[in-house]
Order: sequence, then C-alpha cells, then structure tokens
Amino acid sequence: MWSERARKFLALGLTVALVATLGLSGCARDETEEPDDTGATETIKIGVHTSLTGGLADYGFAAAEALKIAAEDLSGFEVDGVTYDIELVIKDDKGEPAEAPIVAQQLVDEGVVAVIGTLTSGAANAALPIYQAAGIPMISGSATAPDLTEQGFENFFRTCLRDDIQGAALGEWALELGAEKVVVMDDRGDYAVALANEVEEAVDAGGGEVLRQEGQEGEVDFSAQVSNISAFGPDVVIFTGYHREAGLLFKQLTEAGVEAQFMGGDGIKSDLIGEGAGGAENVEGALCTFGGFAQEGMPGFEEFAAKFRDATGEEVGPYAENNYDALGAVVAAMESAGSTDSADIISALFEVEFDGVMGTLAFDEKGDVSVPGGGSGTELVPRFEYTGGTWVYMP
Amino acid sequence: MTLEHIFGLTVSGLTVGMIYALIALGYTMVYGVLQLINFAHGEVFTIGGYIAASTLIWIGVDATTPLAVKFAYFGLALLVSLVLTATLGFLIERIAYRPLRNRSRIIALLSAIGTSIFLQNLLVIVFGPQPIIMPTAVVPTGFVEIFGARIRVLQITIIVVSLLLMALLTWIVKGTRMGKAMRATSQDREAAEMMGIETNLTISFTFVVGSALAAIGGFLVAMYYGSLQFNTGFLYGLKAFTAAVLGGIGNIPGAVVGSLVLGLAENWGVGLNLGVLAWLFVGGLLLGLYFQLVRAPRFRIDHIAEEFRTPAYERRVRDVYRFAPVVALKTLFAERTDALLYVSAQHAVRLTAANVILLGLAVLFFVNGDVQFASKWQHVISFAVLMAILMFRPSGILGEHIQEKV
Repeated sequence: MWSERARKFLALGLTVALVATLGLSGCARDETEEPDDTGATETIKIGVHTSLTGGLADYGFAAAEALKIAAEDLSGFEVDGVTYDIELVIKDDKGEPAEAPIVAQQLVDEGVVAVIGTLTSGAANAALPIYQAAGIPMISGSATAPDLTEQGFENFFRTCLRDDIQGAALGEWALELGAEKVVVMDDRGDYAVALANEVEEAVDAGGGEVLRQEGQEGEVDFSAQVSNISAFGPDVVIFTGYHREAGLLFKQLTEAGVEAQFMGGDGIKSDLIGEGAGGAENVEGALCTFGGFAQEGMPGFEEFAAKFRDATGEEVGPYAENNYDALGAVVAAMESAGSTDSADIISALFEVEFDGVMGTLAFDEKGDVSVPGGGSGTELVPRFEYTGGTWVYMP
Repeated sequence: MTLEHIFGLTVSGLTVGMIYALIALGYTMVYGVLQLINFAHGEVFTIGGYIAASTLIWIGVDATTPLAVKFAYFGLALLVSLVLTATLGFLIERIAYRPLRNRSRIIALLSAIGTSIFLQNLLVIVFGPQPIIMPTAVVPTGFVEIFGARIRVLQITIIVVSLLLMALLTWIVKGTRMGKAMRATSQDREAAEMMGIETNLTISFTFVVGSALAAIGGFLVAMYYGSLQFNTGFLYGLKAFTAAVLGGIGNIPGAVVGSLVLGLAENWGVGLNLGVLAWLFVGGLLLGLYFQLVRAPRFRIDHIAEEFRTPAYERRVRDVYRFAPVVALKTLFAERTDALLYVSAQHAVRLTAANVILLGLAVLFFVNGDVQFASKWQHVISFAVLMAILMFRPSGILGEHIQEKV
C-alpha cells in the first residue's frame, strides 16, 4: 500500500509530534506549579474518587460538579497562618469495584491529603484498604452499604444515611401502602444485596410475604424473573439496584401485565430511569427512598442549587449536596486540627461539628453521619415519586 | 407451577435465544471461514441498534404518524442501519484483521479485543454514556394470550423474523455461488484460492452478512427492551459467543441450536421448579438409554468386518452395552479382549455412568419437586448446562462439521 519510505516518514512525523506535545504539556505544568508571588497562599490537593463514565455517570457528574463548586466556595481557608486553595484531582473508576483500587493508588501517588469518594459501595469496599494503608481519610457522599463502617476502618466517613435505615424505611413504606405480597429484587452487587436484605427483613417483620429475586447488573433481559414475579402476583415490586436495570425491569414487568407498585432505593433516584425504561411513561408513579436527607429545610440548599444550575445548566443531581458537605467536613477538620496532615484530619473528623449545605453535621465513632438533635431513624429518609419524567419529593 | 408460567418462560427463552442466534451466527460464520473469534461483533450489534434508533429519532416518529408511514420509516431505519453496519463490518475486517491474517491467531484475537474496546468508546464519544431510547411509537405493543400467558406481538415478530433470516442465510450458504465460495474458503483457504476463488472477497462478504444479521439483532433488541446502552453488546456478544461454542463453533445450524438451548436454560433454570425440570432429565435419560441400548451397539456392529460378523459376535457386542455394569467391566478387565469389544466396553461404561447420573438427578429433582432455584443461580445453571453438554460433546451439540475439515 504505502511505500517503505512513506511509512518511515510518517513514523518519524508522528514521533516528533508526540515528543512536541509531551514537551509542551510539561512546560504548561511547570507554569501552573510556580508558587504565587505573595507566598502566603498554598494549594492543597484533595482527591475525588468517583464514576464519570459507566452506568452511574450521572451520579458521578453531580458529585464532581458539586465538588467543583465546593472547592471554589471553600478555597481560601486558613490553617496555621497559611491560606490554602483547594485543587481537586478528579479520577474515574467507572463504578466498577475492579477499577477502584487502581484509581485509589493513582490518587495516593498524586499526594492527596484526603479523598472524597467513592461513589458506590462496591468501589468503596475495594478502595478502602489502599486509602487505609496510605493513612488518607475517605469521605463518601453516597456509599450507603452498612458494612463499610462496620469493619473497623478508621479512615472512612460518610455524609449519607446507611442502607439499613433506608432499607427499613423502604420496607415500612411498602407495608404502609397496604402491600401483602412484596417482591424484593437485587442486582447481586454489594449495595443492592445489603439494601434488599434490610427491606426483606422489614417486610417480614411487618407480616408481608416476600419473594426474593436476583438480577444481574449490566443485564438487559429479566424475562425469567418477570415470569416468576408474574406468577407470584405481588402488590409491590422493590428493586434495590440501580436505575438502568430498574427501568428495564419495570418496563418488562408492565409489558408482562404485572400491575404492582414499583419501588426502589436511592440507586433508582435518577431521572435517567425513564430512558432505561424506554420512555418516562413506563415508570410513571414509581416510588423511591433516598440515602441523603430531605432537601426541603436544608439551610444552604437554595443557594447551592442556584450555583449548581449556573455551573451546569441542570437541576441538582443525586447526592450532590452530600458531596459538597463531604468536602466541607474535610476543610472543617483541617481548620479545627490546625494541620493539613492526613492523620490529623482523620482524628479531627471524629470531633468536628460543622455547618454545611444540609445542616449542622458531625460523625459518630464509626464514621457515619449523625445529625445532632435529629436522631437517625427511618423518619429521616425522604420519599420521592416519579412524575412527568422527574423524581418529585413527597413531604 | 401453572401451564401459563411454563409457557411464558418458554416463549421468553425462545425470544432471547433467537436474539442470541442472530449474533451467534456472525461469530460462527467468521470462525468457520477464518478460525478467528471476532470479539468486536458484540459492538457491531450495538451499533446496528444505535443507528436504527437514532435514524428513527432523527426522522421524528410519534404516536400520530399513520401506520403505513410508520412502516416506511421503519424500513428506512432498518435499511440505513443495515448499510452502515455492514460497511462497518467490512471496514473492521479490512483494517483490523486482514493485515494480520497470516500472523499467529493470538495476534488477530488481540486485535479483535482492541477493536471491541475502540468501538465501545467510540459509541460513548458519539452518543454519550446514557442509554439511547427507541421511539416507543414504532414498537408494537399488542399481545395475545396463549394458555393464559401474555405473549407480546413483538416476541412473535422476533421469533418469526429470526427464523426467516436463518432460512435466508442457509440458502445463501448452501444455494448460491458465494455460499459455495464461503464453504470452500472455510475448508481450505489456499486450495480455494488456487481454484480461482477470490478468498478476500469471500471473507469480506462473510463479515458483511454477519454484521447485517447483527444489525437486525440490535434493532430488534432496541425495540424489545426500549433502549440500548453503549455496553449492551458486550454481554450479548459474550453470551452469543458461548451459544456458538455450545452449538459447535463454525457450524451455522449449531449456532441456532446453541442459542436456543442457552436462552431456554436461562429462563427455565430459575423459573421452573425442580419437579418440572426433572422431566428434562427424564427426557435425557430416555435419549441416553436409546443411545446405550439401540444406537451405539448398532453403530459398532456396522463396523465389524464382514468375515467376523457372526450372530454370536454381534450378540457379545450387544451384551457389552446392554449389561454394561457386569459384562462391559468384565471385558475391560479381561486379559485378552479384541479392540472392538474393548472400545465398546469403555463406551458402554461411560454411557451407563451418564445414564445413572441422569436417573439420580431426575429422582433428586422429583423428590424436591416444590423447590425452585434462586434466580441468583441463573448464570451458574447456564454454565452447568454448557459444561455438561461440552463434556459429552466437546465439539458442541452439532459440532461434527468441524471435524470434516482437513
């Protein structure tokens, strides 16, 4: 095809181009790292371990954008006479537990003092040992699996509610609706199985009959499960996985003639559930709980929502405010410890009480978020209904 | 266990199986011709669906569109998808495989995996990571009730369309000049080339046909599930590939049979209770007994040389099969046995073991008739079925055709 000479020229050209790009980007980096003239402001690196691609890209987008806003708002805090600006190092694990340790190692190598993340519980379980070994605190705004704070990891904190609370709330809600036969289905992931177990327990305890089914994350066809569910004839179908599979499942159930109330946990609280279901009308009227707190009554929410809209042109995505406050927690901890050392941040996080978008927050001895004066029972779990293509808060 | 439930599971198993088959055919055709596993095929399938769906979105079909116009748009979308996807298949072969054709097979395999990753990321770049929605206006929503089970018109459409396509493919391979060239290339590429067959053209044609089938599969899946995501093809590709191996890779009817077995295994395995599944083992046992008592001895006897074929000798062979636990074992451990009896004895012992296992499973399942496998075992069961079949037929259910090859 091409002559030998042409190929050599091409190869040479490509090499030159490559070297030139590397050189240029190297120069560019040098410039940004030059210290400020005044010398009083330093930059501190905070890692963001989230999922920007993959099935939960919309959750990751909300987290990353909220953190960019938070970094801008919170930059310029003072520790020990030095003013710090926050530099976010954002990395993507695609929501896959297998990728999470790699991303964690990259962030550790980058020299971040704290990490906001991960997005999912499965990834958190995979990444935690690496952050633990490096002594870096990890604050997740959305990893809700109960076991994360039950394994004795000192460096894990979260600004969202645990699934055992959410699961119980979901089960109780189903019973409140008068359900006698309930299908509980998970996707075999860490998060979904844990949540489904809690739901099943709650429904069992309330005297409901439960049919447990399992799907598979990434699967498109649920025909076997649909046939089983159809034969069971449930009043309520609760899917504890994520919105993509939930949309497909609910659509297939509707088409099979199953007339039940569809419900789910925070994993389905994405407006994209309508797209997964091939159209919003297929999931109209579905209900879900959430692992965050009710946005109504949050002291800083209106202001945050306005900034989020300005920055992205979109409504606030799931767990955005939880991620914002996760960064707030880190900054508050640094201020109260008077140090930017990772170990000091960890010990300060257990002590600190700070005002975030969601209210006055603190962490308990396990690292779970506790709202002072609010308890942390199922009554805190907010409820949503899917109407007209979006999740609407049900007061 | 109602008839309605069983029937519903069967129809959905067949529907899924037919979709697997449309993809598996592409895998198996390419393997037959090139002995290459085209891992990018799953992505070709997704892209086919994406193109069709985005064409329909671009045209802008809605519920008010008259039916005839809807059908025309539908045909147009399918045509656009077919042409573009077939072109993609052609380009994949031309760019990713042909330059490596005379290298070791593992290199082509790596190139295939690379192509698959490339195409998946290309989809994310072009369409974004969110799923693409099929305009619901074009999806037939009707259903019929058979035995009380709700069967969607679309399910029937998928099954019928797939059957027609398979018939068409069989005709192309068996009845046309190009098909003859494909078969020749598949048997021996060099010899075919020496006979004046344009093997490059033939191989390109194989990719084009395989990709076109995948495009139709992608279109049907987009309609059936309402949406497609950039990574949908990965799992489908994997399953279709498994189905192709199960049916005997390189064999076209095998790909269809393997796909249907896989589709049914996925649905029956976790949908039926053990009491119903036990009947499958009863069927297997009857088949096994037929093999052991009728077919295998007849096959052996046919292979006895004329001069040795006496009624007494035939009887000995038959007895080896019939009374395997005693006679066959005795024959195996006897000091002097002739080769035919020895081989027959080995075979008889194996068949007996299989039949005893089938009997045991049937009894076990009948005893626990009310139990049902939890749906988390779905893929475990599919895998067990796969292993069980491949253990007794390593070349796949209809895999003999491979052995014909020189």
